[in-house]
Amino acid sequence: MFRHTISELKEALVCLKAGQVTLHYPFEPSLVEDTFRGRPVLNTRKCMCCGACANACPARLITLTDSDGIRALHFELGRCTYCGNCRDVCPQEAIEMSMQFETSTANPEDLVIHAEFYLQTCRDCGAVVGTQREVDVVREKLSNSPVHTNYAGYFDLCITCRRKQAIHAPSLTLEVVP
Amino acid sequence: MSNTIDNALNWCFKKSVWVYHVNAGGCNGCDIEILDALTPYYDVERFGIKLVHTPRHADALLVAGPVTRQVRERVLRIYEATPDPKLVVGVGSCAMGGGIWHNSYATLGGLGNVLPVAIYIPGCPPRPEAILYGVAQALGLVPQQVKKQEYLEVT
Amino acid sequence: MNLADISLAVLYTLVFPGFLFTAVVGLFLTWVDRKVTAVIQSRMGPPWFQPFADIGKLLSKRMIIPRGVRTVGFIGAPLLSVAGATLASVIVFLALFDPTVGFMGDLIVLVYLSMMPAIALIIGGASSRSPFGAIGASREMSMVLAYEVGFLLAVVTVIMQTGSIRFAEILAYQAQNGAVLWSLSGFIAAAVMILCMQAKLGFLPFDISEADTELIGGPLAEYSGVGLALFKLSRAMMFFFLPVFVVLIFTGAPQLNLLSILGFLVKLLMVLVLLILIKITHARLRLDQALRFFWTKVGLAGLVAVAFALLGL
Repeated sequence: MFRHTISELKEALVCLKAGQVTLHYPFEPSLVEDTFRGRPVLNTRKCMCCGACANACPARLITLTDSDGIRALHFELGRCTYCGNCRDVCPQEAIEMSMQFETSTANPEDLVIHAEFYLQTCRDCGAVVGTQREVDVVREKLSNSPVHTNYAGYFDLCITCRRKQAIHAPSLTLEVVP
Repeated sequence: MSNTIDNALNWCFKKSVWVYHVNAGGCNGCDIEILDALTPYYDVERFGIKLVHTPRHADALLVAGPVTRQVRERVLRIYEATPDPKLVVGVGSCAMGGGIWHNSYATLGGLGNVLPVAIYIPGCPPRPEAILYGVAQALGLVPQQVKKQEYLEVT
Repeated sequence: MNLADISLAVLYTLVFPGFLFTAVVGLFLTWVDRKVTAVIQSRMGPPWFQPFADIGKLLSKRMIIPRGVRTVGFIGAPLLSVAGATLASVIVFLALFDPTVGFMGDLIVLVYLSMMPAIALIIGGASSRSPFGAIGASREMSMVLAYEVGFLLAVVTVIMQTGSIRFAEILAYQAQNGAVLWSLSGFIAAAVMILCMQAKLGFLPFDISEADTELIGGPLAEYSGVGLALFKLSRAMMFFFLPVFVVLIFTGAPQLNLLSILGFLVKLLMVLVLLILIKITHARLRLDQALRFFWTKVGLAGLVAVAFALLGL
């Protein structure tokens, strides 16, 4: 028992070699690596409110609600698991996982992102086509294509009215040969 | 005179917080991060924080996990066993609204539905530094860093 | 016994070498304990005012008295603990500062009073209506029977060498004839007493009754607020006056010059650091291992010391 005590005391003196390993956290910043996934931040200039993130979120905290001409995008980041799925599927790269981890709060409302976008309604029947931003993005992507002028009239129609228009449109390339 | 005694006792409470760790049905991720925060690398003892093993000695309850139906009774008993004044800290995204289990049949939708929570520390799991920041914020030592982000379109 | 004597006695007990002095210095020494522990564990420790903040915080909390406890035992136990520690510290320090105040047999009373905190822990644990308290109380009872044997044998060795059971006379004897420590029996008795003191102070490897992770605080499991503060305060006071007692009884009182007082403080610090180092490098023993250790090895060493003292060594 006493030999054990002496060896333990020697071990205690050896531990002194490590010095002090404490990170003086609040007085020194704690550095995170580049790939750290902190609180998600939405860039509302790029977002087109398509709902891909809402589909991908495992905690189902992203909701899209339509109400008179406005589509509301609502993130309840209190439940976020910081998986980064929303950032991975966003076609506009509008979501970024910032480096912020000091997100404590007494009120869950402080961790909400709420964005509202105007809706584009169909000029014939009034149904919802999508947000105006989505339509603008599609219009811009198609503007580089050589056949874009053929579809100029379709952007403000809903899918039903588009079909009606397409069924009765003059045929472009085919001639039926008996 | 009683004002100085109150101020002195408030100062004592801020400088010496004894925490008791409760797992309310969680996955243990937040529990491991809480244990990390108690290691010499972060050294919470320099703030006076100590881990105690019975709620009767505790000032702050660190509750991790979405509150499942079975554990709700026990969490309430632990809360009542802790003497006043006390702080309830909900650690992790599960405590704040149920996390990824928000619509499960077995959970009750987060700690706020069961206990009066002083502060939530979201994260899955939160970094040990985030847990320290949250406890310090509950004691009024550091400011809050998040607020609601709103964007309303104008033509 | 006139009013002046009574007020002087109250002053001695409550302020100067009694409650206030011992409590403040004892709390400071618990900071020394935590700081040394932190240095060995490679971290910063708490700031110097930490133990005072802890006691202040405990005093500001509401003391919950669980339903069904034996109220007299539950509330009386912390008071008994602090009272025993206060009175024992008064005897120790008065022998140092004012040797005329003492009485025949005050060494025996001192040993008895230093057992009061352990008895109070047993009463408190048994009165709290909790299985942890009951197990803690029974373990503390077994431990008291174990470590008091060695403690008493060491005290008996000193009594036999110095030939007196009055504390002030023991100090006077050592001032004239040299310290008891330098004789063979004195050396063995000092080692025995330091080991028994480790158990008396409730330090690892012998903190079996208050095992934090096994027994959730043992007898202290149901205490909160003022009761817990008084128990912790009596622990802090014991951490001060017991090492002082050991140093005094084995090496005598310091003379009134600076060198001698510094030597006394250095010896006190060495005893404290030895206790702290043993505390942080050992794991907790099981109850049967501890009992076997105290009854066979330590008890035998104590008997050997008494035998050597009888032979005059």
